[in-house]
Amino acid sequence: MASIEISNAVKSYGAVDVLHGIDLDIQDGEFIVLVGPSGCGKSTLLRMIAGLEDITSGAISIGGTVVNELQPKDRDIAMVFQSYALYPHMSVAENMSYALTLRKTAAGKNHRCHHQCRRNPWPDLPSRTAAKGPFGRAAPTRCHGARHCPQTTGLPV
Amino acid sequence: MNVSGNSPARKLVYWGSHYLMIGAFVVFALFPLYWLLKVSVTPNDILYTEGVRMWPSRTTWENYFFVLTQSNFPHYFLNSVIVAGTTAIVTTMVAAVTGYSFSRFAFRGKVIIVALMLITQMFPLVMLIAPIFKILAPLGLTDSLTGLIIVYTAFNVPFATFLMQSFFDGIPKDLEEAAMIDGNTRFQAFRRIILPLTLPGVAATLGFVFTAAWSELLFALMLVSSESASTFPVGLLSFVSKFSVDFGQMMAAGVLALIPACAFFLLIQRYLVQGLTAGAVKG
Repeated sequence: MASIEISNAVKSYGAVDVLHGIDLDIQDGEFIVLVGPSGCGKSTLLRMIAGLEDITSGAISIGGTVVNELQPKDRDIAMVFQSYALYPHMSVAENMSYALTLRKTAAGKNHRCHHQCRRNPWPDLPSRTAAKGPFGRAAPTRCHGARHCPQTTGLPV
Repeated sequence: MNVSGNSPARKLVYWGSHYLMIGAFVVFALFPLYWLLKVSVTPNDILYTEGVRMWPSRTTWENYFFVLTQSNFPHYFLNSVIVAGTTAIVTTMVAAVTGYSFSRFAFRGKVIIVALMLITQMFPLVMLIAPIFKILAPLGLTDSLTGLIIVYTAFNVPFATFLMQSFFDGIPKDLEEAAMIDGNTRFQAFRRIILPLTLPGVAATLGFVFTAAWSELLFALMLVSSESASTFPVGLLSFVSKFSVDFGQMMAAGVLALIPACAFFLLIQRYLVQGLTAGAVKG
């Protein structure tokens, strides 16, 4: 795990300011919930932390490193998408171990992460045919592939 | 379509008319092909004497033998395979990356590029032959297969791009974002996640461009003058001489020309099946 510091983060699309200077410190191991009406920028902030959106000004650092210019893959972060975003052409197990495979860890090489698969009774199902149940479980388990880092989750209430 | 709850008689009428209409369309679409085949196996001496019959009283393969051994057709055929195959592959590769950028990125000048690509599709090809000839001649690209490939690629890229863009639009953005967080660069995400899911689109684009280039006559006729660089649609014209048309041989050549197109579609048809992305995102 690692801490996140956000200092004066601003996001604007052209002339429209969306986030007007967010300051937020999240400690290691802390569990934070962002609440707000839809369109207020919760997901935008999450996506900025994950690196999917540019940071217009200000700084975001993860574990003491400023990550403004880092690619998502180099931030060592995990994210559960509200829509699950499972890769339809891979099985549930492949979906879960994909990040590990890319990181070339032993578990990824085995193509199966036993500890995580125990939670999922259908590791070999193609994710597109798996029912809603395995979907919901595969998406969060997949994301534990990141080693020691914050995990951002945009789940509906 | 929900017809349950109706009586069996109504069901019969419903499905009967359903298949009748499909059948009528299939017959309408395939009859010319059947006629092509029929004329190609009819011996020359009874082609005009028998009148209109569904199948000739005698059949022969001699038209095929002649086309394959006595004419330049195998050469034309090879030229067409080279031109259409290269055009299809190059066009699809260009269209895939262009379509992806149109689908995913907002960049300066995007509207202008899209407008320009649309404008290229607005003019009848006949208008453009003279200027294109003027451009290609000093470059030594007239009368060459390379020239044909360049022209075909240029004319097919805009449409293929829009086709590919619509397929990329159908793939949720979340998927490549998830892939990027999982440890891919954007290009790796494109290659490993997005492209496999777009295979139906890639196949459709390949097929469309291949058939377009395979059957193109106008440019092939105007830009190429020598036998050695002719494609098969031009070659087919050589069966029409000043005083007669050799229908038997022409049809035999036509049947042979159908083979690669059929083989190509047989090869890609399993990718044409849609619905691969169903269930990617919770819906």
